[in-house]
Amino acid sequence: MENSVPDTILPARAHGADTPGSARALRRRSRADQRTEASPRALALEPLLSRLERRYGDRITAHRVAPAREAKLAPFPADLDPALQQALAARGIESLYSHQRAAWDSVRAGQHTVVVTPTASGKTLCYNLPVLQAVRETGAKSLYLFPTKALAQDQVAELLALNEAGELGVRAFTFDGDTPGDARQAIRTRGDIVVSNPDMLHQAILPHHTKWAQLFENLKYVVVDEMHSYRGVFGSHVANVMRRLRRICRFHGSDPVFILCSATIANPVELAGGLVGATVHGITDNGAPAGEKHVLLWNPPVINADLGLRASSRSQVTRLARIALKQSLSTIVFANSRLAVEVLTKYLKDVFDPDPRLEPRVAAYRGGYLPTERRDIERRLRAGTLDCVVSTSALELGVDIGSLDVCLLNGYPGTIAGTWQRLGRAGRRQRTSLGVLVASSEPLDQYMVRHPEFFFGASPEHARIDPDQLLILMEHLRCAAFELPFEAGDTFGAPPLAEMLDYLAGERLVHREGDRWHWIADSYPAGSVSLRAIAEGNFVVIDTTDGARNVIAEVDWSSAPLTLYEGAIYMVQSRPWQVERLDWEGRKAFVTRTDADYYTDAIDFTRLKILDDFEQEGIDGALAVRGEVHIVRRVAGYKKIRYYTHENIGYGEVRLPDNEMHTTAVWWRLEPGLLERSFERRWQALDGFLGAAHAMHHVAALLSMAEVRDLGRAVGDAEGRWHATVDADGRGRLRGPDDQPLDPGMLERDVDQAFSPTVFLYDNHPGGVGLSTPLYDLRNEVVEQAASLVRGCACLHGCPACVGPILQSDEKPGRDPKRHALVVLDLLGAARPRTLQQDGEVALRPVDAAAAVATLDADADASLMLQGIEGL
Amino acid sequence: MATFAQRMQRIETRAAAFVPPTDEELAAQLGGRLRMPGLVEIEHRHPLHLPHGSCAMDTLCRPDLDWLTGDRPAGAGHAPLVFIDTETTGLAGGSGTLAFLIGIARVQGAALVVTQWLITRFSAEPALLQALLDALGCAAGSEPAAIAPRPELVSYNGKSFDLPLLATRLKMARMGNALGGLAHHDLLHPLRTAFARRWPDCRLQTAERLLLGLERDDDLPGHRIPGVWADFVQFGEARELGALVQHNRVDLLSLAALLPALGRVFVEPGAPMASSTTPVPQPLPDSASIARMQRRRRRPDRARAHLIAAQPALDDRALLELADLHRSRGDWSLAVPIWQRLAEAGSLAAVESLAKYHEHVSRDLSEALRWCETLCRAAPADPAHAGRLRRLRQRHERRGALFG
Repeated sequence: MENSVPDTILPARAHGADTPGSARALRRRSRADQRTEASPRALALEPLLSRLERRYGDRITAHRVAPAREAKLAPFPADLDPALQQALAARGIESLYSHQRAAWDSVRAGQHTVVVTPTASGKTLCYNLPVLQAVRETGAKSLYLFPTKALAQDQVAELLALNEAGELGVRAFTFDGDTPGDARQAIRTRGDIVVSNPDMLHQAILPHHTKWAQLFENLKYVVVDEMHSYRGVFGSHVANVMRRLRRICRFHGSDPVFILCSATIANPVELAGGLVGATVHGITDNGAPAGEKHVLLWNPPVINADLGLRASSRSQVTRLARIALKQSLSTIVFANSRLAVEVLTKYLKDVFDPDPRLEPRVAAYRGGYLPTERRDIERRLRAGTLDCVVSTSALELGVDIGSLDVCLLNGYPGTIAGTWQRLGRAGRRQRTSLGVLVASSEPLDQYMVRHPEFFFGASPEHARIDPDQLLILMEHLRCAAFELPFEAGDTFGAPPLAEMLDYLAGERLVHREGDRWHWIADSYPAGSVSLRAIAEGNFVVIDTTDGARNVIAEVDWSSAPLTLYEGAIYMVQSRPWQVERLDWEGRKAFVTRTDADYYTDAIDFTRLKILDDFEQEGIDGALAVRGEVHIVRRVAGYKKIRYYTHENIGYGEVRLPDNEMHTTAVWWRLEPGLLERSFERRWQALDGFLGAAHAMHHVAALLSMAEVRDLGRAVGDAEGRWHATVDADGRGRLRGPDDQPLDPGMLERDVDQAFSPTVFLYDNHPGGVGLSTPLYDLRNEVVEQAASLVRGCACLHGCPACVGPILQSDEKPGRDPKRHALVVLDLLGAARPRTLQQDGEVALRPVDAAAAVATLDADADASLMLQGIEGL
Repeated sequence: MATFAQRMQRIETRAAAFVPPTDEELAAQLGGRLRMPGLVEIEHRHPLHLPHGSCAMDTLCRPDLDWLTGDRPAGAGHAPLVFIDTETTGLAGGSGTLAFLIGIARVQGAALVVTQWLITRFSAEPALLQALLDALGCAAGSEPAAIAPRPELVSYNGKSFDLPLLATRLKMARMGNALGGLAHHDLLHPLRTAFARRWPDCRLQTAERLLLGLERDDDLPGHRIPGVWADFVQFGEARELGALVQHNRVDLLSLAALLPALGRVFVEPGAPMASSTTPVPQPLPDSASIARMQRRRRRPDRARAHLIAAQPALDDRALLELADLHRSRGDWSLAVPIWQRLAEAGSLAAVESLAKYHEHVSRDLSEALRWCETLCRAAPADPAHAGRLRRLRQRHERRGALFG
C-alpha cells in the first residue's frame, strides 16, 4: 500500500490555464475576479482539502500539487498587421504567450504545425492570428474544421468578436448541415474563412469542389482543432478526407499549410503527420499561466474487513460531491457510462434539488440529449447558475463551460490522456482547484490508486490511426475517384493504387482509359460513407405520456439495444421513463413517464466465429493466432436494480436482432491432448480459460495502450460449438451455437469431441482499426504478465481484480479458478521462447502490469463481482 | 461475393461478346459524322411547318419571350435562342458526373436544327465542351464575344442541373466558365407555376403528353441512359446508342415546342391550341399562380390580362387574385362583385376583403361590422379578426353617439 505523497511537485504538466487570447478568457476572467475577490468560494477549497486530509486520510493514496505557474510571454511579431494588433488591444491583449508566438513563427515559415496545449490556453489565437493576417495581407482563405457543430459555433463567435474589435472586415461563415441553401452560394464565393467539420467536407464540399473553386484556389491554411478526437476509426477516415482535400487543393493550384491543435496525447506530432500526410512541426511548450492544482487519488474504504470488501466508487463520489456542493464549489463529475451518469445525478438531485420549482443545482450531461438541452446546460455552467454537472466523456472535448473548482472522476476513465483531459475541466482560472480520481474495484483502477508514481509519471496514450486500413481506404478511394480522375503515377495511401483502381473497375465504378481512371457509376459515393460509425441511423426516444409525442432524446444505433429494449428504464436528467414499445425498423422508442424505484441494466453476450487465419505461432502445444473473426452480440435480457441498495429485483427478456460485425482478433489455445493431461475435468479447464481471459484482457489493454472497451474478449470453442459468457448473476455460463444454455457436464460427457477452449481478444470496431497487429506482436507479454498478475494477487481462489467472473456451479468440489487460470496461463506461456523477454525490459512501458493487482487486498467478494458487472 | 478475378473474368467475357464499332462506324450508324477523334456530331433539321406532337412550331422563328422575362427587356428578335439538353452519367451531380452528350437546337431559316455531340471516350470531353462553346460563340476561357449578339439559353431544369454540371465540367477541363454570362430561361419554373397544382408531376414527358399532345413510342427510359453509355464505353455495346441520341433529340424538340405552347398558356389562356393536325383542348392552367408570378415580377398588367383572358374558367383563388388586382387599381366596382360572389360561396378571404372595403373605402360601418361578425363567427381563433371587430364596434358606437 502506497503512502500519500503530499506536496510533491507535479512534473511540468499544464492543467488549467487562462488565456489572454480569447473572448472566453475575458468573460471568464471577469467572472473569476468577482468570485475570487468578493466571494468566500475561493477560500473554500483550502478548508475542504484539510478536512478531507483529516477525515479521510486513509482513503487518499496520493496528494499532489501542481504549483501555480507564471505566464511565459512573448512580444507581438513585428510584421503583425497594425489593425490586428489594435483588435487584440481592444480585447485586452498586449502580448502573446510563448506558444502562440512559436505557432506564429512556425506557421508563417510555411510549416505544418501542431500546437499541444490544455484547453483554453489561448490555442485559438495560435491559428486565428496567422489566418487573419493572411486575409488582410493577400485575401488568402482558410478552412476551419471542428469535430462537432457546437464547437464550430463557439469558435466563430470568438473570431467575429476579434473581427469586430478591430473592424477587420473578415468574412467568416459556418458551413454545416444547418446552413440554409440560399446562404451556401455566398459562403462558397465570399467567405474568407469557412468553418465546417470533416463530415461536411467529406460529403458536401469535396464532391462539389468545382463550386468551391474560389476557396480551393486561394486556400492558405487548414485549421484542425481538437485533433486528438481524430483517432481510431474516425481518425483513419479523417486522414483519408485530408488526402482527398490535399489532392483537390493541388488540382486548384494551392498547397495549404495545416495548423492543428490537440489536447495532450503521447504522439501529437505523429498523429498530426498521419492526418496531414506530411511532416508536422510540434509546439508543446505551453506558455499560459496555471492556477495551483491539487490532485488526489482516492481508494474507497474497506467496509467489511472479513471479506475485504470496499465501498463502491459511486458512494464515494456522491459523498465528495455533496461536500463540495455544500461549500458552494462548482463541481463536475465524470462517470464512465451513460447509465452511471443518470444514477449519480439522481443521487445528487435527491439531496440538492428536492424542490422541483426551484432552478436545479445539479444536471446530467451526456451524448443523446437533444442539442438544445445540451446548449442550455453549457450556458448555465458558464453563467455559474448550475453548481454541479455529471457527465460522460461528452464534456472532455473543448465545449465551453467556463471553469470549475472541483472535478471528480468516478473510476479511472481508461486512459491517462482521458484522465488528464477530464481533470483539466477544473481550475482553468488562475485559482486553486481540486481533482479527485476515485477508484472502482476494476484491476486498472486499483493499480492506478496504489501506484501513484506510475499514474503521475505515465505518458498519455498514443492516438492511433490506420489510414491504410483497406475497408476505409477503399471507401475514400471511391470518393476521391469521383472527385477527380486518377492518373498513372498518382498515389493514395500505401497500397498500390493501380491495383485498387482496377478493383474498382471490376465493380464498374471507375473506367480505365489509357493512363487515367474515370468515375463512371451513377452514384455519389460520399453519400454512402459515414466518417463516424453511425451509419445505421440514430433512434429517437419519444415520450407518449398522456397522449403526447415529444422527442426527449436520441440514442445512437450501437447503444440502442443496450438501452431501449422494451421494459427498459430510460433516464434523462435522472427522470425515469419506461420503454413501452421499440420500433426497430423505424428507429423509434416510445416511452412513458414512470416512478419506478429501480433502473435496468442490459445483459448481453457475444458469440464469435473464426473466419480466417493471417499468421500464427505454435510452440509446445500452445498456439497464438491472428486472424479475422465474425462477432455476434445479443442482448438476452435485463435485470432490474433497486436504487441505493443495488439489489437485483427481477429480470426481463429482450428480443432484438443480433448485432454483427467482422473484425480482427488474436486468439490463444492449447493442444487438446496437453489440456486433457493438465486438468481432471473440462469445466476446470474452462474456469481456467475464463479467468485467464479476464486477466489477459486487462493486461492487453494496458500493454497495447488501448482502452479496455476498444478490445473485446470472448472464450469459446475454436469450432464454434459452444461459447462461455458472463450471465446476469455475474457467473460464466456455457451456451450452444443458438445461445441456448448448456450444462457444463456436457463437456465431460461429450468425450469424443475435441475440447479446445480458446481465448479471443478482438478489435472492438467493425473491420478493425489496427489493434490486433500490435497485440499479436505482444502475444507473449500478454500471457506472461497476465500470469504474474494472477499469481501475485493476494486473494485465495480468485477475485474480480484478477480472474474475474467464472463459471457457475461453485458448489463443485475442487473449484479453484485462480489456480486453474494459472495452469492455463503457464501452459500458454511455457512455450514462449525464454530468451526474448528475460531482461526485465518490458517492451512498451516501464510498468509491470502484474504488479497492478499483486498488491490488492483480499477484495474478492461476490457482491463486488456483481458491482463490477453493473459497471457502476 | 464474387472474387476480384471472377468479376474481371465476367467483364472480359462480356466485353468479348461485342465487337466495338470504330468511331467512324458509330458516326455512320448514328447518321452523323466524326468531328474529332472520339467526338461524333449529328445534325437533324426539323422544318418549322411540321408540328411536334400536336403542337405547331412555326412561331419559333419569331419567338415571344415577353411573358417569361419579367422586367428585363426581352431579347426576342435580337438574341438567338439556343435550346439545350444534356445526357449524363448520372443524376447525382458533383464532380464525378459527366455530360457525354450535349444537344442544342437552333432556328436556322425555316427549320429547327438539332445538333448533338456524343463522345465515345472520356478523353474527348474537352473537344465536346469546345464544340458547344464554338456553337455558342464563346471562346474557351473568356467571355462571349461581344460582336455577335449573345445567344440566350432555353432549358428544362437546366438552372439546377445541366448548366451547373457544364460549369463543373469546364472547370475540371480548365476551360474557364464561358457559359456563366449567358442569359438562361429555364422552362421548368413557369411550367411549375402553371401546372404544379394541376398535374401529378412536372417532368418534361408529362408536359409533352398533357400540353403538346405527344406520346413517345419506343423511347429509351431516362433512367437507363447512364447505363447505355457505360455499357458502350466499357464493353463496346453500341446497339442502344441510337435510341439514346433519339431520346435526346425528342427532348430538344419538345423543349422548343414547349416555349410557344407555354407562352400561350400565359398570354392567351383558353384560346384553342393552334395545331395543324388534331385540335387538343388547352389544359386549364393554375391562373392564380401565374398571376402571382407576374405580380412578383412587377408586371400586374400581364397578371390582369392573363386572368381576364382566362376568366370563364377561373377558380376561387384566381378570382380573389383578380379582385385584388382590381383593388390595387382602385377598380372597386369590379372588385366588390367578385368578393360578394365569393363571400356568399363561403370564402373567408373574400369576407375579410369586404370587411376592409366597407371599413376603409365605402365607410359603411354597419356593413363592415356585419362582414366582420361573419368573419369572427367563422374563424373565432384569429386575434386579428377579433381586434378588427372590437375596433369597428367602438367606432360604430362613437358614430352612433355622434349622430344619435
